[in-house]
This record gives sequence, C-alpha cells and structure tokens, in this order.
Amino acid sequence: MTSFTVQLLMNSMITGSVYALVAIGFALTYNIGGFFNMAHGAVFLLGAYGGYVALHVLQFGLPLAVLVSAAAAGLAGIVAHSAVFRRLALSEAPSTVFFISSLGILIAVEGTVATGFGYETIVFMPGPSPSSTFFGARVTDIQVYILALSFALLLALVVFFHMTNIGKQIRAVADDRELAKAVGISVNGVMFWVFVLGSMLAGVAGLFVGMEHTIRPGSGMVAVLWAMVASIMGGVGSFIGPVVGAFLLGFIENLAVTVFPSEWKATVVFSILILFFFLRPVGLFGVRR
Amino acid sequence: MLLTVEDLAVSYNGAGVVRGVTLHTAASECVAVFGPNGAGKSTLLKAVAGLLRSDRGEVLLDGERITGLDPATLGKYGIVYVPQGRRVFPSLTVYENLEIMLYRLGSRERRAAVESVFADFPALRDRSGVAAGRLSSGEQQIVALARAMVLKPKLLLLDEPTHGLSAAWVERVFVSLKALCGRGVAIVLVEQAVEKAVELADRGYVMRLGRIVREAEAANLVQAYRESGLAWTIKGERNYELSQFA
Ligand SMILES: Nc1ncnc2c1ncn2[C@@H]1O[C@H](COP(=O)(O)OP(=O)(O)O)[C@@H](O)[C@H]1O
Ligand SMILES: [Mg+2]
Repeated sequence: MTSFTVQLLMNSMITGSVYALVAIGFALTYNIGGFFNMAHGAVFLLGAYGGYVALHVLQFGLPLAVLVSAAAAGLAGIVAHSAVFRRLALSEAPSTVFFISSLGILIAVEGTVATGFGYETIVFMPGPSPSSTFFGARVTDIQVYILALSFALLLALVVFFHMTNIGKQIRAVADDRELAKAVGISVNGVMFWVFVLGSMLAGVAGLFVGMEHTIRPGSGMVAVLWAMVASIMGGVGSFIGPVVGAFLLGFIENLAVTVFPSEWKATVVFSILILFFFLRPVGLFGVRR
Repeated sequence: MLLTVEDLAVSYNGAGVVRGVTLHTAASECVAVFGPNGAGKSTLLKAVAGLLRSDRGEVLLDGERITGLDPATLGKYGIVYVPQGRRVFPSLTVYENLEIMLYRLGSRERRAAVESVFADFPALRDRSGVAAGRLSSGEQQIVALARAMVLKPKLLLLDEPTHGLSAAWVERVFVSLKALCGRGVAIVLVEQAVEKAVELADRGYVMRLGRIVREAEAANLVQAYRESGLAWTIKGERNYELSQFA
C-alpha cells in the first residue's frame, strides 16, 4: 500500500468513526419512531458546546470534557423525549408532526447557542497537535484519541445491545415494533433509552468534531445530514447498517476531496446518495419488509 | 368461566368491525373461532389482548374486569397473545426471543424459565443460539408458541398459527397445540385450517361480518360451519378441507 492509500484509509476511519457515533442514534430513532429526528443535530450541538465550555471555560482535561459532552447531550435527549416526543407518541401524532417538531427543536437550540456563543466558528484546539507517522501516514495525537475512544464506544454499544435487558429490548423493538407491543414491551420506555444513549454518543461526536475541525451553530444541521446519509446508505434496520454507512460516507468524502475541489464534497456525497435510492433503496444492510 | 367476552365492539375510524361479540372459554378449554377473511377475528383477538380500544363491551378473566389492560399486565394475569404473521424477532436469537418476555426477572430466573420451556420444545434447544430470522416459517411458529409459554399462561390467544405453513409444519404445530391443551392451557384459536382445528377444539364459534353467527360443540362444529354458508364463501385451497365434510 502506498502512503497515499494508508493516509486515505486512516482519514476515512477517523471521519467514519465520528459519523458512526452520530448515525446510530439517528437510525434507531428512525427505525423505532418512524421519523427523521432533526433534534439529533441539537443534541450534537449541545454536546459540542458543552465540551467547549468544559475545555476552555472550566479548564477541564479531555476525559472530563468527554463526560460533560455526553451528559449535556444525554440530558437534552431526555428533555426532548419527555417534553415533546413521548407526548406526540401518546397522542399518536403522524410522523410529519414528529419531524416538524424535531426541526423546531434544532432551530431553537441553534438560535440559543448562537445567542450565547455567537455565529462565528469556534476552534477547540488551536495550534498544531503533536503527531506521529504510521506506515507513511500522518496521524495527530487528537486523531488517535478520537479513533480509540470512538471504537471503544462502538464496542461498548455492541456489548450493551447483546448483554443487557434494555439492549435486547431495543433490538426487539427495532426488529418488529408491533410484535414488541403485542408481547408487552413498552415501546415508549425503549424510546427513552434510545434517546439517552443516541444523544450521548452524538454529544461526544460533537466534541470530537470541534477538536478535529471546528464548530459553529450551523454544525448541528450538517451533523444530522451526515447521519441521514450514513443511515440511508447502510440501512436503518440493523445496528451494523448505519455504522458501515458512516464509514463508507467517511471514505467517499475523503476520496472526493482528493479528486475534486473540496467545495464539491457535499455534491459528490449527495449524488452517491441518490444513486443509492435507485440501486439499493433499503441500504447495504437493509431488509425488504 | 376463565375468559368471558361480553358484547365487545371495536371499530376502525368509525367503521364497526367487531359488532357485539360474546364468547367464553372455560379453564383448559380449547375454543376455535372460524370465519372468512375480514370477518373481524384478528380485530377481536387484538382487542381482547389490549392492543385495540373497544367501543363497548367487557372482557372478564375469572369474573374480574380486564377490559383494555395492556399486554404486559395481561401477561402477568396469564393471558398471552400470539399475533398472526409476525412470529419472531428476526435478529434476536431463539433464546433471546423467549427471554425477552421475562425482562422483569433476574437472569437466573430467566434462564430457568426458558430451560423449562425448552423441555417442552426440545427441538428449539439445539437452535437456541441461532438468529430466529434464519429459521423456517414453521420453526418460527414453534418459537412463537414457546415464547408465549415462557410466561406460563392460563390462556393463549392464537391468531392463525399455521397460516402460510407447509402441510408437515401445520401437522407439527397442531401436535404442539395438542400438547399444550393436554397440559391444561386454555386456547382461543383463530384458524383457517378448519379440519385440524376441529380435531383440537372442544367448542367453536363461527364469525361473520363482526358477529358470532354460530356456536357449537366440537362434534357439531363442521355442521355449524357449513350451515353458516361459509364453505361457499371462502375461495381458495382451504375449500378442499371443507369439501371433505360436505
Ligand atoms: N388497522 C386497520 N385499519 C382499518 N381497517 C382495518 C384494520 N385492520 C383491519 N381492518 C379491517 O377490519 C376488517 C376485519 O379485519 P380482521 O380483523 O383482520 O379480519 P380477519 O382476521 O377475520 O380476517 C377488515 O375489513 C379489514 O379490512
Ligand atoms: Mg386475521
């Protein structure tokens, strides 16, 4: 392998692992709740800015900042679920109402964040990060940290889904919501945990994006779009689908910027997304029902 | 009476689908419900199972009102519903499919309960680690029955358990049902395989357009079914089963 290939794969892994953290909660909410949860971008944003406050205002170390991000986003997820989505579910609102409400939450949180921090782009880690060379590819210490923690979280999630009661119930409801109701599983109870866990992961991803790139109030909307694309490409019906979709998206993006000017990145991604709609609408790991 | 349904009515968007159904099941009794597609059999079971709100009427268990209680609560009281078609959670293993009913219990109690069901369905023990979606439809139906039995129910509500199965699997499912009856589990069985269901049932009802139009002991069930005119209203392969009695 040339060092170019190693660099490309390495960058794709880093991008993909962060996208995966955002996509999992988004895909689960879509699968179980049947709506595109734009508020996922809001919890991403709160995680990011929460992490920024922890790092730069409270002067916490990185591990503590990760916890702050997860906690801020997780709490926001609980509030969104309890105050809005649980009520909509109980009144059996149509999915468009869920979607519009979630968009409202995203816009409101975006505005609130902008009021507190301004619209300008925030850099979490000014100055160059120390880096090392790995088979000819340059990897910064921050990237190693992001990669390691993302994979640890994904692994922990697999264990959670297979070893815990809640995890198994989430899988059951994701498999067949109607059957789950019929056998007495509380779909709303499961949804609560999906919001808590999905939001925490998205919050940590927000911090990582701030560390590796930059954050601004509009980043929440961008994050939901990644999650949407990753979920559609991978398929929402399984755990592995959105994760693989996220890594594929990371690869496509990193490949695209080596071929086209970087302003074309989104165009390339969405063109491929539309191809997916034609060729494999259920996603790579989707099942036709 | 174990289960009493009194004048139950259910509608979808104002259109009455179950229109005043009264039926009952004694403890350990197997009761069949026949009727053409669209008669409202599934709707009736769903309403009894607490998945649909009823417009009027009552459901009683041992004389206590249980109308509209949710499936989890009904499970505690010993009523378990097995829906039509959706048999298993495909990505969960066979073991997890059974265990999922018991999330309120500790892991040791769960294992013991699942083990005791495996004793009744030995073929499932070998498949316990397999994702249920990989099983054949027949095996999946056995998993669905075993999953219902994990709660040690007094009463099973079964909606067309043999629908879409091969003749050999229909046979096997009925062998399992007979074994459950033999163990004193009461069953309300909605079934299109009339011939097999008549063998199993103690009593039966014929439902049409949301109402019970006939009720009969097992020996007279086929006669009642024919008199209700259904042998001529059902199209398709099931007619062959009926024609043997005609
Ligand atoms: N979810 C639903 N919404 C509206 N109508 C329904 C729904 N489910 C069933 N129906 C209608 O109710 C009638 C009875 O359906 P069902 O109870 O499934 O009958 P059966 O099980 O006897 O075939 C049918 O006319 C069917 O079209
Ligand atoms: Mg039916």
